[in-house]
Amino acid sequence: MTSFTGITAVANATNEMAMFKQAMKEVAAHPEWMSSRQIERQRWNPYSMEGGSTCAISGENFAIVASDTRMTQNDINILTRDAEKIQILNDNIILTTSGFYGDVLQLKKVLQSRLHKYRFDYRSDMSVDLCAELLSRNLYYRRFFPYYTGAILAGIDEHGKGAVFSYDPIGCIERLGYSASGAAEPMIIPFLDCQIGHVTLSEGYERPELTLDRAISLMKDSFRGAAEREISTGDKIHLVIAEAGKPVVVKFLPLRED
Amino acid sequence: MFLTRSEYDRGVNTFSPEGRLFQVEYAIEAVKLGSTSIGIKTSEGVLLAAEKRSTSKLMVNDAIEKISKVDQHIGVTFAGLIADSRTLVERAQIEAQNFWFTYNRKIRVEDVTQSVANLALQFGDDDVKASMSRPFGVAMLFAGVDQEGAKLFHLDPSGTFIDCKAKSIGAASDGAEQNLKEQYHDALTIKEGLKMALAILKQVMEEKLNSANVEVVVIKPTVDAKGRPIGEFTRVSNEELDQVITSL
Amino acid sequence: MNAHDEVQRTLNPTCTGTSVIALQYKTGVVVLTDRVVSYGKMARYKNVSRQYKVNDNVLIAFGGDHADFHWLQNVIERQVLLWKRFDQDIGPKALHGYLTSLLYAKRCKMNPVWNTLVVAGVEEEEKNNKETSTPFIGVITQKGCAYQVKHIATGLGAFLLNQAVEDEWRKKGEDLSREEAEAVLRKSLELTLYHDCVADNEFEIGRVDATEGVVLGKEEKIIGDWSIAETNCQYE
Repeated sequence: MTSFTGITAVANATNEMAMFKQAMKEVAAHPEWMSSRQIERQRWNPYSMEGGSTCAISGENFAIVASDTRMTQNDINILTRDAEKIQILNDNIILTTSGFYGDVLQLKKVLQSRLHKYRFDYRSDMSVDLCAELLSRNLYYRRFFPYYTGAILAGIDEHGKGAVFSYDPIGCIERLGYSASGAAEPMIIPFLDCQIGHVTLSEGYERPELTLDRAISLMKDSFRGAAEREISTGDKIHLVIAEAGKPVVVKFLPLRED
Repeated sequence: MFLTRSEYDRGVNTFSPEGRLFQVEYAIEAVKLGSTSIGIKTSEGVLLAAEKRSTSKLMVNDAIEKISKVDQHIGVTFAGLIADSRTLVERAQIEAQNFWFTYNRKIRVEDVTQSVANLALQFGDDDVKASMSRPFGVAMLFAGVDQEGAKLFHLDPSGTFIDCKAKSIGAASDGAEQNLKEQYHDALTIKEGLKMALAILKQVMEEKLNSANVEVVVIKPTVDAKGRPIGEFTRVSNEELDQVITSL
Repeated sequence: MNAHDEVQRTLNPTCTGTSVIALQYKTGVVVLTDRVVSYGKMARYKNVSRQYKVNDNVLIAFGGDHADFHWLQNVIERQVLLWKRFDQDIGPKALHGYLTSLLYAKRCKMNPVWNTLVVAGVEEEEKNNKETSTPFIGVITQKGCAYQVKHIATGLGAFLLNQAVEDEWRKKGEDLSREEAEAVLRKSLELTLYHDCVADNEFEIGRVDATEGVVLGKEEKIIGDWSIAETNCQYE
């Protein structure tokens, strides 16, 4: 009988030890001094949104790209009135990006260096078709820590036609006739759907041809409309016009500053 | 240290007083020990023909591969140290796939040749980062059809590559090339090209030409799903080869 | 993430500086910072400068975590010495670019540098020709968001002062004289003093001028107008 109680005592001691270890582990993982609020605060958000909108329209032999130049903080505070959101990568490729501006800058740099290397490796300028695929790969490469950007790539393709490629933050790619991204995307897209896509027009009505002039004036209207109703869009329109066989033209047009 | 003339071929990257790199020149000589290969660019695509030398009756001839596929639209044949060529072919295959993966477009024949040429020069006797301790002992013929049309490139162990209309490498390359110069014209069809290649091989080969000791690949222009011009790599079957050979 | 990682990464700032205000004038840039470092809302350290002279062409001012900026000073100094080895002086544009990459890289590792940096300076367009030098102000946030401006107020000042500074800037633009620019900054500080509880009335105005180079400011003080306090019924 004595030997039996001895075993029980040892078993109890081991059990106590295991429970103590478990308790230590728990307290180390969730220390008492770390309240739920502090645990919440330590989850630092690596993203911020600087607002603004971008848009691109392609035609038979041209592509135009526009963005506003406002950069905001928390949607209510203007950081600067002349931020660059359009990058002319070469004569045929224009990148425009909205979203988190740190990622916008990084994406621009990555593409610029890839284009530079392409020139050395393949002895020619990259075409917008190739760049579109490259951008898609680059975005997907960061699938699990995405570039928080709505990118649009536009330009003149290998056949001399206007091209617009639209992306989601993780590299889904689609070639479209026109696209918009950023804060005023929900306002610009329906407008262009109506004016260029003619999706609301009944059959038998005249569909005006999309000339460069018409595209430019639609672009201006889009941004003026957006600036009226969307607070993080405004200050200036940065307009870039690429026409097949002609040098790229850059313009700045005034927009509401309030 | 005094170096006699013959000592300049010790180090792989030591120039001789006449400005020659002996090891590279010897590597070019090694190519001439290999079996003969021919590449011909025609108006209907491009073809490669290679001799498969069997050293023994007991060898399985079908197991030898003298023409490798780099991608759907590019083939390559080689002469010299076949083992060396495996490394280079693999580089070509990787480069082609990498380009396709990044740009969703098939690589150009010239660019794939260029990338292999870059590897061809990465040799040295220091054991730091050089991948090879000596030059590769192979010459290669890259043939393919890309968006610019049919292409044929010759690459030698010095890393030089040249755009060709027709070219021969290997043991009987001098004789074969003489024939090519005499017979080649721009309006050649694939059928004529095939016949020409086999006729030349028949003439220069030591063994009797038959469908077992020759390998032929044809790359014809086609279009991909998006309507872009590209090539289609096809091996010519033994039956077709027999037909041509008997007609010679 | 390990439970104790919060002590190895600045996921919350500890001792902080508040607004930085900077403004371009005709031949250079003036930068104002107050001289207090706060621990939460307590004015923990007084008489601390928040401006750092990089070389004769560049001055950096910061808001945010003070310890992180100390670390940054070390990194910047290494970079300056690296340029010195090639007999070069790093310009504001180059330093701004370098710090942008650095802060973005750190944020990608989820280990941010908890600072808003204002890189002020004059960019030498031609070597040893002061005539062609242009003023430069570049801002970088802790997440690597970077931009160039003519005038800036960061921290709480971004909400309080940006418009005030911008209005003054628009009156004269590039023709603003140094004295006028400094007056704008002093007025701005007074405004933050009234509204930002961690702003201090002791401050300094540093400047980078095309001809004089970097001139660090002397400690100054304003009292402000507190007469309104008498009409506040909660004021004893």
